[in-house]
Amino acid sequence: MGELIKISNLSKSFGDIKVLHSLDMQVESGEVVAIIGASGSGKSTLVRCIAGLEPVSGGEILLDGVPVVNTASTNGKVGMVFQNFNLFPHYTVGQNISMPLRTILKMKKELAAQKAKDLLNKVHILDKFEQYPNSLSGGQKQRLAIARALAMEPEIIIFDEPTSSLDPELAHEVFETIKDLAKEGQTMLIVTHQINAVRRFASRIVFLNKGKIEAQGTPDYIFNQIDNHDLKQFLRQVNFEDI
Amino acid sequence: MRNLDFWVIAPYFNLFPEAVAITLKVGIGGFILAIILSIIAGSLRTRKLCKAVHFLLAAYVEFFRGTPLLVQLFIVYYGLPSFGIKIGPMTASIVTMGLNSGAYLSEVVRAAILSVDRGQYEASAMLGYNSLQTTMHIILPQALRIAVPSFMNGFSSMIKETSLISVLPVVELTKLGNQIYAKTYHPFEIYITMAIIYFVMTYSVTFFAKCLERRLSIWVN
Repeated sequence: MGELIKISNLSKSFGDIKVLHSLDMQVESGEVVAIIGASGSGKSTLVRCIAGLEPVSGGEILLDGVPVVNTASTNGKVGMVFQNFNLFPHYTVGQNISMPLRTILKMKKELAAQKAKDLLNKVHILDKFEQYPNSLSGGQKQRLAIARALAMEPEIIIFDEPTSSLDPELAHEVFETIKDLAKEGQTMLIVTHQINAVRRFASRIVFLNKGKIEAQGTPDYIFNQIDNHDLKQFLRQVNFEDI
Repeated sequence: MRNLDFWVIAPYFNLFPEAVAITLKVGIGGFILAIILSIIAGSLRTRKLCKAVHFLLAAYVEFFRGTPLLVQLFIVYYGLPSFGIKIGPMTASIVTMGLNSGAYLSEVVRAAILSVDRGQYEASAMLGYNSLQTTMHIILPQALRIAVPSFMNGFSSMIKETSLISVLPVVELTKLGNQIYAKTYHPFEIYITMAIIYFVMTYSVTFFAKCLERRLSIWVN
């Protein structure tokens, strides 16, 4: 396992508001890292910086040794699954996967369609191939978003609160899909509040508090061993709300 | 009050198809030009470009929105020959109406592009689309669906505004009406007939627009 992401002294501000403070972090290839923390702790900002969607204010993010300055600099190595899906509404379910393959990777129509079918089969929505995303349930939309991200074969997939807009049973469907990917060795960064769901397959949990990494380690270490007041308070809160 | 006599128009019926064809030719030609110009100008105005380009685009939009179409027709047909640019009345009509409507519709396109969710740009960028690919494949198809009702309104207005080209040497529907009136002195019968023909044309556009909107709405949330 090699180091895929190296974050050094990362800071991010929005105007006068400092969201991330001198953050250091590494992600190894094959790791599944869950990022937890209260609302406003900087979780989404951190992953958006890693994806190149937000310019950093200080420090550096290296992806395979190459600095991340914008989405283009990630060179297709990062896939992203958003909280509100961001599917392309004018494309059918199949086209949501095949059109990027044809446009970006110049893949032939038949090959792209076949790959779309394979991926939709993997996330159990092959029967929706011809339908438009507006006819899917929330869980199906998010599984389509995961399949679309997988199609580009990224080295790492970032999930930014993938289940926060879903009902518990639909969130469960999505986490089952993510768990399957974890088994296959896909490197993933997952921002979530639903820690009980990710603790089953995350290799590491990072607790972010007020823009700083307050604690990190294996799920067992985070849940049972560490003695951190803010973390314990957060875990009490989310356990109450969790699925 | 005299009795209405629509039969006075009958001897001139054979002239109507050509006048209607010219009206439609100018309306459709101008509309196609307006669509092209509005997509180019509207898209460019949402992008970060040099100030000179933005100034030129704003000048185009403001000039054609801020001056009467009739004056624009006179400038293009009668004014441009002073600079050695001589164009026929049909071409002048199509070009002027396209430029005029394009200016209005470019604002529709601009607003439609700005109304597309920011997340669509982010999703495209994460998949590897460049700026042009994002605009062409992801943003414009969604923006144009939003713009369809306004586009169809523009087309409907344009068909009615073709009556203004009767000031040029083109025998379109209104000019034909004027000519028949000059020979028969039955203004009500003639202009009511013209109005009905215009109504049929614009109502057909409205009907087509509703079908198009229904068809495009299958993927709307």
